[in-house]
Amino acid sequence: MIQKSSLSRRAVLGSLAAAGTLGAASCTGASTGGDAGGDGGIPEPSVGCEIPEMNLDDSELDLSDLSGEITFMTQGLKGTFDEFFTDLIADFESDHPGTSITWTDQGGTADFDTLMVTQAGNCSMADVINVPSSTVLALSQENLLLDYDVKSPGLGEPFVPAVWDSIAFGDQGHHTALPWYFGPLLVTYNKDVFERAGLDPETPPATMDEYFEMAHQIAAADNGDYALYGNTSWYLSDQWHGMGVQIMNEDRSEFTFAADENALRWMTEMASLYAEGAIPKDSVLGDLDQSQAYTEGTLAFGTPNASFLRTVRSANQSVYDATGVGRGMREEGINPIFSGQYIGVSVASPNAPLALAWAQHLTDPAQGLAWAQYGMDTETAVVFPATTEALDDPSLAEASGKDPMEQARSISAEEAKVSEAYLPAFYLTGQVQEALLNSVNKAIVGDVEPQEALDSAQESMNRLLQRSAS
Amino acid sequence: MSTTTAPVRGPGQGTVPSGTGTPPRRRRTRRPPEVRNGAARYRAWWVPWLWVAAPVVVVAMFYLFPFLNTFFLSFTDASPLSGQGENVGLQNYRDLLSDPVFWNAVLNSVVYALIVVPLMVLLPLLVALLVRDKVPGIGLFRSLYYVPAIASLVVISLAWSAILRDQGMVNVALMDIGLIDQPISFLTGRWTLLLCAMAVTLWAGIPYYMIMYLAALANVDRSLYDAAAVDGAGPVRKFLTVTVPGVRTMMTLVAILVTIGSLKIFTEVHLLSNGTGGIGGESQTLTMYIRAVGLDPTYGSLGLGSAGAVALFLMTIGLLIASQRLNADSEN
Repeated sequence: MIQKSSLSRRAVLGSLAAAGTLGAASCTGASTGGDAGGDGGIPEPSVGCEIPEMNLDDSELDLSDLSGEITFMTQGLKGTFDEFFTDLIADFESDHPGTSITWTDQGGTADFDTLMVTQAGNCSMADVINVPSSTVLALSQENLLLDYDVKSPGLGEPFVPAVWDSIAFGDQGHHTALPWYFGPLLVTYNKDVFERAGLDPETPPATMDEYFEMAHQIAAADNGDYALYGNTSWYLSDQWHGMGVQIMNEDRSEFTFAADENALRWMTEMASLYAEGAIPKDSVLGDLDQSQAYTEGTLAFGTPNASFLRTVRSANQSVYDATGVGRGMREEGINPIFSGQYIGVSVASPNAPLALAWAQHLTDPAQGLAWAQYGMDTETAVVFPATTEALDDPSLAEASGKDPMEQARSISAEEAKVSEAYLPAFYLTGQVQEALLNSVNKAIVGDVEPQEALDSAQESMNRLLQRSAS
Repeated sequence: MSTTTAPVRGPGQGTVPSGTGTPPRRRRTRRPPEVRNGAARYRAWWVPWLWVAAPVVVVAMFYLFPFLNTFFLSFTDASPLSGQGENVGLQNYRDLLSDPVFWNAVLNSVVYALIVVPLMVLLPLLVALLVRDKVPGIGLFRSLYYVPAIASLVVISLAWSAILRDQGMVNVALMDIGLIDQPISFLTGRWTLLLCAMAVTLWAGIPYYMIMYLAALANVDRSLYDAAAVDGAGPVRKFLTVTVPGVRTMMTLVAILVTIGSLKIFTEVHLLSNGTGGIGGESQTLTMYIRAVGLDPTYGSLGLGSAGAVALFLMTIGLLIASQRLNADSEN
C-alpha cells in the first residue's frame, strides 16, 4: 500500500514534469479568431490585438505633422554600423521636433525569424522593421505590413523599376516592403590555389560550365586543395538562376525544377565533385558563411557575398591578398539577383505616419547613397541602395586599386544596376529550403541518385507550398 | 507560530467530592480558546493563500497556460505569425502521423533516450563512488569534475563540433598515430552524429548527477559495507547489494529527469549539425522537428507544431509510466 502510494506520488511528479516538457516544447500562440476586412479594402490581419483604423482605411496617411515615438528594428547591424544609424536617427529627430525613434537590433537569420514570429503573434513588432527576404513574403501574406500603395501612393517611384515591380507581395498585388540595400553575389577565389592547379589566376569563371570545369581541375591536381564549399545554402538558388533553371512555374504555384535538365546537371556535377574530393566532406554541414574555411588557404572559391571579404582580411591577410574577384556566374541574357533587405511598417503601429516617414527617409536616394558610402569609407560592407538615382551616382563604382574589397565594390556597382528581384528565391525559405537542401545534401554525398533527390525535394516542397496556400 | 498554554480551568470544572456513591457525571469539556500572540493574532484567513499565490500564478502562467494553449492549438490551423486559426479537428494529428519526417524524428529521440538514460543513471554513480572517499585534494578533483556541468551547453557543443570535424583534434590524432588513413566523418553520418551528441550530453551531464549521487551516498550506512565484507562480498557484490539499494530513490529521480531531458534533446544535435539535423535531416530530433514546423513564418503550421508538442508530451508520459511500473515491479 505504501509502495502504491509512493508510486502514485512519483507518477504525479513525473506527470507534472512532463507537463513542463509540453510547456517548454510548446509553440507560441493565442486563441483562435478570424479575419475581418478594413474599410478601405485592406484586409485586417488575424491577430489578437486591435489594429488602428487609419492603417486599414482607404485614406492616405498625413505625413505633414509628425510627432510621438516609434521603434525601429534591424537585423545584425548593431556593433558595426552604430555610428551611422545613431547619427541618422539624431538628424531625423532634429528635423522633426517632437519625434523619437528607438533603435533595436537582432542578429542571426534564424533568431530574427523566430523573434519576428513571436512578435507578430502578440502584436509587439517594431513600428519599422528591417525585413529579410526570408520573412517578407510571410509577413505580407499575413497582412501584417502596411499597404504602401493605399497609404502612400507613389512611394515606389525612386526605386529601380525591375525590383519594385516584382516585390508586390501584399493583398491584391500591393506593395508592403521598400527595397533597402543589397549586395550582388560575386565570385571570390584564391589565386594561389588556381595557380597550384594550373589555372589562370587572373581568369575567374564566367559561367557555371567554366566553374565546374575549374573545380574538376583543382580536384585532379590532388595537392590537398579543395575547390568548393559543401554548404550550398548561400549559393544554390543563385547558381541555379545563373544556369537558367526553372525553379517554379510562372504563377509560382508549383516547384518545377526536377524536370529541368540544368538542375540535374548541377546536381550531378556536385555529386561528382564530392566524390572526387573537390569538396571538404564535413563542409556539407558547415557554417552558412564559408569565409572561415576559405581563410585556411586551401579552398579555391570563397564567399559569394563581398561584404564577408572583411572576415577574410581580418582572419588571414595573405589569403585576402591572394583573393581575386569576378562577376556572378550566369549564362547570357540572365541578370544578377537583387538579394537584399527590405523595410516594412507594422500594420499594428499606433504611429503609422511617423513610421512611414522614417521608412521613406531611410530608403530615399540620399540616405541609400550615404549608407553605401559609409560601408566603403569604413570598409565594413559592400552594400548598394535600390534607388535609381543613387545607383547612377559615379562614386559607387569608383575603385582605387587592386584591393579585393575595392574590386568587389566596383564589379558590384555594375551588377547592381541590372539586378532584378528573383521571385523564386523568396519561396526558398524555411522548411521549403530545408527540404531542398536535405535532398541536395543526400545526393552530393552519394546517398541517393541526383534525379531521385530532385524528385524527392520537389515533392516535399510542393506539399509545403500547397499547405501554406490553403 | 504555535503557542502552548497551561490548561485553563473553566467555570464549573471543579473536582467531584469523593464518597457520594454516584459515579461522576461526565461533563462536556470545552476546548480552551487558542491564544495567539504577535502577528498571528492579526492573520486573516486568506494570508496562507497569499503565500502560495505567487508560485500558483507562475505555474499557471508558464506551465498550465502554455500546456492548455498548445493542446487547443493542436486542433487548429493556426499560422505561426498570427497565432490564430480555425478548428480542424484531428487533421493535424493525421498529418503528423503520416509524415515520415516526424517518425524519423521520433525514432531518433527514442533511441537517444534509450541509450543516454541507462548510461546517465549508471556512470555518474560510478564516478561518485570514485570521488566520495575523503582523501587529500578530493575537493579540487570534485570541482574539476564538475566544470562541464557549469559550462554553457552551447559552448560545449561548439567546442566538440570543432574537435570532431574532419580536420579536428580527434581525426588529426588518429591519423598521426596511424590508426586511420582518412578522417572519420563523425558529424555527417546519421548515427555517428547522434552518438557524438550523446557523448556531449553525457560529458556535460555526468558531473551534475554525480553531485546528486554524492549526496545520496552520504546517507548510505557505512556499516552495511563492513557487514557485506564480513560476509565475503567483493566490490561488485557490495555495489549491487548495498550501494544500489541505498541510492535507489535517487536513481529513479535521475532516470526521470534524464528521460525528460533526452526526449527534449535539441541543443547538442542542432549545434553539432549546424542546425541541419545532419545529412538529409536524418538525425533531426523531435524538438527540432517541432521548431521547424511550428516556427517557420512562411510554410509553418502552429497547429501541426503543437500537435508535435502534444505527441512529445504523451511519449514522455508513456516512458515515465513504463519506467515507474518497471521500478515498482523490481521493488516488489
